[in-house]
Amino acid sequence: MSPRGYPARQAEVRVERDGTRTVLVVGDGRGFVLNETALALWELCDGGTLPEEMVDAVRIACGVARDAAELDVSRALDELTEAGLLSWSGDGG
Amino acid sequence: MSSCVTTVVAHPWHLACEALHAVLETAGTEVVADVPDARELVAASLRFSPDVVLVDQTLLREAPIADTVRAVHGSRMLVLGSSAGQADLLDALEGGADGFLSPLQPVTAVIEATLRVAAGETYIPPGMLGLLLRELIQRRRDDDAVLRRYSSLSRREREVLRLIADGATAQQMAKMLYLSPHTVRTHVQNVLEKLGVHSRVEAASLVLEYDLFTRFEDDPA
Repeated sequence: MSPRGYPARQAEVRVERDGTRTVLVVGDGRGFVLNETALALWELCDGGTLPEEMVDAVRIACGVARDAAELDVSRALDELTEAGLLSWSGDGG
Repeated sequence: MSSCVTTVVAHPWHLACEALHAVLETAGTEVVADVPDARELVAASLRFSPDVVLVDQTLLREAPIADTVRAVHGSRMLVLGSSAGQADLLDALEGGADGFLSPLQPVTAVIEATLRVAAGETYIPPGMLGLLLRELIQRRRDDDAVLRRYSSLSRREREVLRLIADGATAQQMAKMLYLSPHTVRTHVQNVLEKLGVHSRVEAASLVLEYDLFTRFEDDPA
């Protein structure tokens, strides 16, 4: 897990429910449909929760090995960041 | 793949057993036994070695059956929750469940959950994963905070805490530790302050809840 600090949801992201799907719409109008795990991780990104804490929780909740949980969380956070859905801060404040 | 999946259904209500049996068989899974209690569930698991045990959560409170079920033949356990609440979901997972069904889910979820659990996945109802992860993170933080506070106790303070947990009075502690009652009172006060609790009862509860003595057995402080 790269030491990037604390991920936080971008404030300008709009959440739209479409039946069973949840679509996140960023400022420029692009929409992203997330799977259940990615959406749960995005919701955890409150600027005060470390990715390492997410890894521990995913490991327990999903009954997977630490390496697998770390890969899943890391990949999901990378994709959310690239999509403009997350920003990062160093101090958790 | 679904035709290969074998299940045992365990529910105290005959009606529920029959309904679940019927639902699972429409999906091509083979229900090898319907049982009404934990004892018969263990017996059926031993006899049939099912891929999945579909068990009502109330039966898990009768007996700790998860390890037995798993030990048989690697059977996996899907729990029919008593409620759609976070606490029941956590109880089930901590009790060894591989999946959890909320009573608010449609009947089709029983099939999906059974097949996913049989395939080695963990099944958590849609919409509950985020809350579960948040709860697990909070528990871990609480746990870390208590362990940090316990680590700050000196060796003597840990001895005092052990006696507090045993229910000893200040006089008894003084006698056992060869200290004056005044010194014991000072140690007790320090223990309470360092643990962030307001009474000896709270301190004893903390020891029990977080299993402090077992977890720090080899740590001399």
